[in-house]
Amino acid sequence: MLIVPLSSDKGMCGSINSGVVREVRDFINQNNRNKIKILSVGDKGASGLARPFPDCMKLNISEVQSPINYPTVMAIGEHIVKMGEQSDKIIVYYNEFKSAISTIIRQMELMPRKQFLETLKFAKLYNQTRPDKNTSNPALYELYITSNLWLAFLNNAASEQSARMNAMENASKNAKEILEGLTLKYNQARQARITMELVEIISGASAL
Amino acid sequence: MALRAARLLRFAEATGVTNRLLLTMSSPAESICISKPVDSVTVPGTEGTFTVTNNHSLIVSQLKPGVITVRDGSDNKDYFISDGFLFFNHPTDGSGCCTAEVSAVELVPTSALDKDRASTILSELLAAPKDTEWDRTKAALGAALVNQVIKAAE
Repeated sequence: MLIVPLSSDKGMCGSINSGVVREVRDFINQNNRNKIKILSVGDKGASGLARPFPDCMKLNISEVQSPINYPTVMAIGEHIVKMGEQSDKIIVYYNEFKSAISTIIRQMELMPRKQFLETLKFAKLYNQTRPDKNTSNPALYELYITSNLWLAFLNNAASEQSARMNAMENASKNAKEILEGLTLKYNQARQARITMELVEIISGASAL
Repeated sequence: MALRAARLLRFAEATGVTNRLLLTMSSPAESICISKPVDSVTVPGTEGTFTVTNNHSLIVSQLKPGVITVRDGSDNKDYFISDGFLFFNHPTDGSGCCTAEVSAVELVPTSALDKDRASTILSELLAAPKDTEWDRTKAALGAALVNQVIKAAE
């Protein structure tokens, strides 16, 4: 089994990376970890999974350019396909973008190449495939993998953006509240000090 | 606001359409049309160009770089496709509308092609050193693609 968790490289983006890491960790703990390989995309996922499962981590892809483009996803897909050749399934973990304030973690199951080509043998409905089945089916497999990965990457990127915006907005709001509280305290201290100085001067003057 | 309304109209699904070919053309960048009733579509298959109309036989075909012509009445639109697949399906409901789906890697209207830029890129590709296998493959595939772009841009 090959697990591909998608995560970001930079932090400050809420709980999207920790959510993915947690789901992957739970999944591996429920299954036989000797049969599982991890191909991680993004530093945050790699660091979260390297410590509990150092034997499973095979490859980490980081500093994927943003905004992501289709040829990059094709290249990443090649790595995934190569590593997933001997697995019985490939599971991609990503955050699906539901709205600006809600994202949900999804698992996308993809077929390894052998299984896909086997499945196509049963597609007898299509009495013609051009060119012949042996040439076009592998190309179709590449389209299948890359299109699904493209969906996962886009959703994850949108989720990361919105989570970061929300996290930063909350941070700014909290900082503003703390600032207001501290400003009040500062003014109180300043006024207390002025009052004390006045009292000293006045009591000094009245002593004469 | 007007832009959004125009975009929605482009995707307006024709309900109650019978016996027409429904065309969906999309690429990773955008969906050009979704279930649009058309008369016929001419696509560049890897083994040759062919045209599909409603009630064509079921076919899955890989496409090579070339021009896709969409005909709807007297309306002819040309698009350039770099690579992709055409999936032709028969109707699953009783509407008699077959569906043709073009899933392309890159799909643009031919009006968006720049012939001069393509010629420049072609000469750069052919002049580049061909030491490694990757260089040779890139030059061969790139030249095939750019030649088609130049032909389509006329």
